[in-house]
Amino acid sequence: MNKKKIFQLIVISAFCVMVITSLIFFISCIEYSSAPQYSMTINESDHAVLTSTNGNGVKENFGVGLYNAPFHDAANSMHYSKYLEENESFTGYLYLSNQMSEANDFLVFCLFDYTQVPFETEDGYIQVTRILQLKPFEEVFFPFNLGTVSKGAHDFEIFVIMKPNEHSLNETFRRSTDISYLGSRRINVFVGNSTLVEPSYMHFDPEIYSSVCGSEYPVNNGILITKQPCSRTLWFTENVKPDDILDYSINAAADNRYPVSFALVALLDYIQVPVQIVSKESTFFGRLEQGEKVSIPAQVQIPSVEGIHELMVVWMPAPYHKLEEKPGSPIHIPEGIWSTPSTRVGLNVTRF
Amino acid sequence: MKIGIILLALLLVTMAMVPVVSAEDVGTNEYLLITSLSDYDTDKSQWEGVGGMEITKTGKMLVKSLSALGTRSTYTWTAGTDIWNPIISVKSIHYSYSRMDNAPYDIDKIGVRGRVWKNNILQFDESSESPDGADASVNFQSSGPIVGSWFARSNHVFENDATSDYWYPVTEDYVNC
Repeated sequence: MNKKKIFQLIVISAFCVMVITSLIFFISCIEYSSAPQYSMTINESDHAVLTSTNGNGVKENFGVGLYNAPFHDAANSMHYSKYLEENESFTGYLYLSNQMSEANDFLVFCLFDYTQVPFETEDGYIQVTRILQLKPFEEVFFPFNLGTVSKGAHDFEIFVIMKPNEHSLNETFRRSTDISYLGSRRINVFVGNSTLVEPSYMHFDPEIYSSVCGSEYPVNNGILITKQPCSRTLWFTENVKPDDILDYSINAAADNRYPVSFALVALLDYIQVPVQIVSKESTFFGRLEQGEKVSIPAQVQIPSVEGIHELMVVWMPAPYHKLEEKPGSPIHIPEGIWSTPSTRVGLNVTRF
Repeated sequence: MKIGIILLALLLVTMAMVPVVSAEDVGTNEYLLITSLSDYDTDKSQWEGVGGMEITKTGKMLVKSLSALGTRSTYTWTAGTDIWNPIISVKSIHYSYSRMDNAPYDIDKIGVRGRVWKNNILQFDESSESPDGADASVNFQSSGPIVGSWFARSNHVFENDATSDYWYPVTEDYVNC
């Protein structure tokens, strides 16, 4: 075999190796799976029945509702508003249905006028949060009583958080909490003859809020909490010392199609804490013009107890908007009234 | 010698087809917002149109029908997240739809928020909500380097006040390139 043939053989061999490598690369990268992952049928008696899930793609499936009586029908639904007489207690039933094949814990809390409030349960306890344990496919009516509320028009929202006792710092779990594991129902509450009054919104003066995220910033009509302003990187854990103050950023964005007004609340271990320690305001109300994207500086006081603590922020669009013309006839609000949670950040408190 | 040069040229062409591996991970991405989706179809080739993804749009159809006996039929809500890699890009679709007897069944609110992460860097975040609608969908198409771990997640909204059903399932999918 002469040198020319040896050279040709080497080239051909190298070519074959590269082609095979490329093919392996393509084949490993291309994925053509897919049928819908989730299918839920509502039967004639208005009950939801999970009909199919595809693989392991459904990570959360629970239903929530607000009712005046423990009957799962439209006649007893609060729909989007409740009317009370003066000195009448605000009572209701949270309908919760765990449509998953495993048991789950759900943490319940209430915001009244965007402030976390205690509520009384059937067993006479008054608490700010309550954990409900539901078996697979179990549904319950959970009675609550907020007592009498002041005359006027209010917003009330009841929240349900799934997996509240999961404190793993595993990146996959933390990433899975982003925009997930939270369900809620908001209603307007009218006591006496009242109308809703919008709050004083924070306007984002560019001189104060210099961290204006550009139009390329990917968030729309929502938030992403990060360590640095306008970052796009998942922030899921932080090692911190007891009693320190931790700075972070709430990157908030309007949709590209319409302006948004919003309320933000921060929760530490599911208890409301100020968004900004300096202002001490429990709730941050803001308004953003169409396509506007800003980074809001935020701080949290670290607990003194060592261990894993949960930090999250909830985005609630269109606060104090009237939600329905009459019971059962909702008003369309472009930004929706769909509360969305941030990533749950695991604060690892140690005296290192 | 000529064979060698030809093979070498072919090799270079083949290598050029392989997406570029890059440590820089901040490429811009493109997407089209879809407000209505006729039906989810597992044949993804229908989504690939000129300039990106195209999905046939359908008008809303009110089907809140009652049977002859005056009872309502069952209806079905379907949702999913799908992310895949058609060789030179990564695409995802996040959809929610409501059907009765295979026809669109309007409910008070149907919506979806879709997010896509690449190597834990957010690439895409869009939401769509249709009042009195039967379909909501958003989708994403990457541009730039695709090598990495891609993760797509959707938070779906199904609210039917007439029957007091409010559901917010979450679906996810991922692909590694």
